[in-house]
Amino acid sequence: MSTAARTPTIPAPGFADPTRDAQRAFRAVLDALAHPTRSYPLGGPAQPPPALGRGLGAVALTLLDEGCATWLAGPLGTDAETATWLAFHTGTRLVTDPADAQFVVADPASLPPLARLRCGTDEAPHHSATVLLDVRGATGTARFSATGPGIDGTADLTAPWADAGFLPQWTANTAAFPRGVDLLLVGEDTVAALPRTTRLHPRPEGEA
Amino acid sequence: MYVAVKGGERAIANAHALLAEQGRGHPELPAIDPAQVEGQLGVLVSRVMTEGSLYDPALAARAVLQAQGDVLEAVTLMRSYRTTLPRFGYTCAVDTAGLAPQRRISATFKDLPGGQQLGATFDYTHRLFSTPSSGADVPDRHDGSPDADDPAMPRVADLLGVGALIEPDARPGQDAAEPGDLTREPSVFPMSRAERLQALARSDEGFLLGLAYSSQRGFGTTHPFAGEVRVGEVEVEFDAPELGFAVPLGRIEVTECQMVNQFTGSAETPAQFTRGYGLAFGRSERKAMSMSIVDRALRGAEFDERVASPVQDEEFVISHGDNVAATGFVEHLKLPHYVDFQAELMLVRKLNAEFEEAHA
Amino acid sequence: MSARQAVYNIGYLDEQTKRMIRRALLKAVAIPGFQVPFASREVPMPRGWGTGGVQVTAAVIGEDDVLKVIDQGADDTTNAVSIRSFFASVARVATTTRTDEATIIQTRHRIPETPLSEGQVLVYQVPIPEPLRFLEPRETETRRLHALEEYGLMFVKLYEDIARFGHIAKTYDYPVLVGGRYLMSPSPIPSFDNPKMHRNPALQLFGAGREKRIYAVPPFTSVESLGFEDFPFEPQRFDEPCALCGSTGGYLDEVITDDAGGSMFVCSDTDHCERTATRSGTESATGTEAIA
Repeated sequence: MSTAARTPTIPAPGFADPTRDAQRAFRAVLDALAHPTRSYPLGGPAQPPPALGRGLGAVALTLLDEGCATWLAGPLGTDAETATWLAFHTGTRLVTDPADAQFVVADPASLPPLARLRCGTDEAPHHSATVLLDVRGATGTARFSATGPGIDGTADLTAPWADAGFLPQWTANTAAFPRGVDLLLVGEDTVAALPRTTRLHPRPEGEA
Repeated sequence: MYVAVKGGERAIANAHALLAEQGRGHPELPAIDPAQVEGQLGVLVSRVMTEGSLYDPALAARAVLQAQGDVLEAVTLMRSYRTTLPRFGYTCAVDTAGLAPQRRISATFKDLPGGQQLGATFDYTHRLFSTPSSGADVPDRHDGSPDADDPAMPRVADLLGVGALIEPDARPGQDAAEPGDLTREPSVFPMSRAERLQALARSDEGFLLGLAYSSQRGFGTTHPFAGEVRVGEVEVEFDAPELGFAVPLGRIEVTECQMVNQFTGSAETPAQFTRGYGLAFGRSERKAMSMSIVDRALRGAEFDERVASPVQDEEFVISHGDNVAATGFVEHLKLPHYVDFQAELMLVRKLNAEFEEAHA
Repeated sequence: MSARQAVYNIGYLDEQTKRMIRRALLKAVAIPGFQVPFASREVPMPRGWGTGGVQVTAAVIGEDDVLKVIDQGADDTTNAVSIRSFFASVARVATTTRTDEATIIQTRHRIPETPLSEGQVLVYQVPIPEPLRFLEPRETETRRLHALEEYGLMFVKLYEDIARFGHIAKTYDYPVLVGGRYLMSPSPIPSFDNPKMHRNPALQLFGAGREKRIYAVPPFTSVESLGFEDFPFEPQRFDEPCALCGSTGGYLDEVITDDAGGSMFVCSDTDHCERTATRSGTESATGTEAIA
């Protein structure tokens, strides 16, 4: 049996120092949600599954465990290495319907309509999905200005991961408050966030 | 010159030293060994394990000593250790019918398969002080303890269940899913019966006793009969999915109480007794009995009973039964509150000044 | 047998518990003012003595942090000392009494006088997180009232105060509306401190251990103390300066100095008092003696 064929059954290591690495990654995520649109550096595991990457790997190791259900979108959903790695290191339950997931891991192309995800109820708005969006290599040109809790006045958001359909969906998401989903924008070594309270407004092309 | 209270660190260190000194007692007398507590204060150790939610007699004995006999302090020690332990999964449901009881009594039948077995009990002892012990004063037993040849002792509830005279263990659809775990999941009301039973098992013995007593005196009557109380060791098994069979983990001593209660029934459904359930670690008879009465009382809505008394009120009972929470919050009044008191003081002075002005 | 060691994790809480609390914290920040239920764990302090704050701090804190703990505004009250030394030993963090040097401040009953800055985290210990609890004891009911944004009960209570006393008779734990949506208990801070919560640049986290709730106010978020047009919210004020450092505008403790009715007013915030005194060369509320 070749080494390559055995890879999926022997998951690569997770955090080098689980307690400290998870704490640092959590602080980055917490800071990101408390300061929407702002990007925070994220340290990840050395050899995550390539489909997942360092950043998503770090967030997954930090937040997921057997106490929560996760849905992997698109190509990630069929990546055996990712499934094995997540099962081994986090024990999270992988579900097949995004509507059942507390955590949705997707890239911009595979992100389902936000309205299809769990958005909680008026009594329990926290029973809602957190989307871990893989924004590595996104090349779009969308730019928004953002307002809401955590933002002192207005913040600019460059959103190469957002397609034309995103803004109306996000506007509907913020309008449903307190229900709604929250978005973590995860790069290779960074994390930024859009909680459901952040309102986005289009910014004309070329405006500084 | 006034200098505000300070030196909290020194004060705490001194207090700890003083506490240790008091706990040690007379220095010329031998310190109590935890094994002595485990062996000779078994009922106390049982209570600390039950309310501490951790079956570990040796550790509970240490907790009792470290807490200088303060039960709630010992329970807190156990709980705050237990909560950091990793969780591997759920054990299989223990089979209390297969338990070889060292004690088993039923108040509902004169005799029954397996017989009545009095076992180790304070019942029928005369509460007179015995002469101080010389250490070797255990009286001889007249006949042996139950041995392996004893006939089976089916549970009374199962005997009545055969004739459908009592409601089954689980009703169709009731808590069919994996039971919740209040120590792992956020608890919200209303709770499932399984969650309620977990909360009751952790609840303060005295609180449950008072509630059970109140229901016997008319505040939420359930007409209980002690169907069965049994004490003994059960095997705990863990279902390891990767092995495909249950692995025995060890034996634990438990006390179980099945309370048989007032019957339901109507023109459409046949009459059936209902029940309440109590289970506690070790020898904890009072706890198991109180728990079963309160469990049944809390099922009022299920049987369309009028719910008007404290013992029937889930939020009231469950929110206030946890003695770690209760003692902490009552005792937190010892913490300084002078900032808030200052705010109240200023308001009262202001209101008084305004009153005097208006009545001048 | 008695030699067997009971072993505790770094930071006391196990990693699974930290993840559970961290997930609750993220939802709390995303829904400002909403009380997120969490499976509160026992911690080695009694319930009601800051177990919620301790769990929040334990889930957030790392070795790069500098922790300050205050109770009644003071760093040297016994419970503050106890919690600070707990984290110094189990999480191996540096501690401070200076508000401006701390990255995390755990507090009971006060917000420091020194304005907080961006990046700081203020962790409140909360006894009763439900602002409507004393008006409606049932959780199933209050949950519904929050869902419906139905806060009439609270306004009626405040109005009855005015009718009876001529004032809103709530001097601490004064209810606030967060982000224009959720009625929230600010914990039993004096109403004097309420205005500091509004659009504060620090992240404010609230932990109620016994009641099993976590909630949050993100930076720069509106926190409005309830009032009426003709009876607006009025925080309490002190007319005199601190008898020790001479500063004005801070919250003061009244200290009884003799049995003939004598008293003096001194800063409740010991760090503020000490630093004001150092600047002006006077005594301070923590005195000159080093804390043992």
